[in-house]
Amino acid sequence: MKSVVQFEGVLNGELRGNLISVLNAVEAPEISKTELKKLCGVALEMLDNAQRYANGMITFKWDLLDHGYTIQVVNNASPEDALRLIAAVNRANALNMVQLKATLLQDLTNGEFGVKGGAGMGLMQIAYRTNGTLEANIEQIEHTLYRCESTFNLKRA
Amino acid sequence: MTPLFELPPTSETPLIRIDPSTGLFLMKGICIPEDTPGFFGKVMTLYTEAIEKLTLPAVFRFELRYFNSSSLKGIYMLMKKMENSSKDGNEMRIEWVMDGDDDDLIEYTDLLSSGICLPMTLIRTS
Repeated sequence: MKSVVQFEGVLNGELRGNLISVLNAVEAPEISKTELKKLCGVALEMLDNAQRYANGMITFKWDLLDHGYTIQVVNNASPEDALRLIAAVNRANALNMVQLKATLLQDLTNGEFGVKGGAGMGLMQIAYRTNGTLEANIEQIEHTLYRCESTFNLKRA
Repeated sequence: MTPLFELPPTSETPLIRIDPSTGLFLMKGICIPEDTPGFFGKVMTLYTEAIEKLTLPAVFRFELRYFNSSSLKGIYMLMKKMENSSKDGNEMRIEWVMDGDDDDLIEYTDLLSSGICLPMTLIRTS
């Protein structure tokens, strides 16, 4: 396993922009340009979610495995946001491509942003654009705080 | 004529350039704003004001290297607003510029064009 990028800290808009620029500039012979674009899109949505819902520091890592890639984000969040993450992953994983496209279109055209400014489409878009798998695990660490772990796995083309 | 207007790019928002002398509304760079509703609300106001004074056909050109899903929604809402203005008689079209090998973006334009009636052209750069 080779670590492509690792980040630990408090995310802000500028940092997220810089991190995405770094990811886009990754040059590894194992990763094609098309795969890199796709993976950057996934990383972008996961970081976007983390920034919107994280309470404090986040850990982001992108690993290159023998057979594929793993992108993982770990952050703490409120119970409401932790449960929302689980629901969003379950929703994305339950739909086939036709259903995903229809749901994305419905979310795109509903004319409203979420309470925290998101579109509610990030994880669905990941599922739609890739053949990867999304997983989310949450663990209560305090009365009103959950540890959230989101993982995306993609087999190499 | 209204002068050329520019909103400079940042590490998370694209360059916005409105050129009344050509009718070009350019959005170029990366688009991952922290406050997506706020950013697109501002752009929507700028576009709406410029459209009201424009005497030429409008071209909305998107040259975005990358953007997040909430920005896709912002772009959709912006285009929907412009589409409604076009019903008042303004001539408009969309140009979506993408890297020659970036087929991923086609999925986005496909989604956008499903809900927008303005003519949309894909331009591939080499």
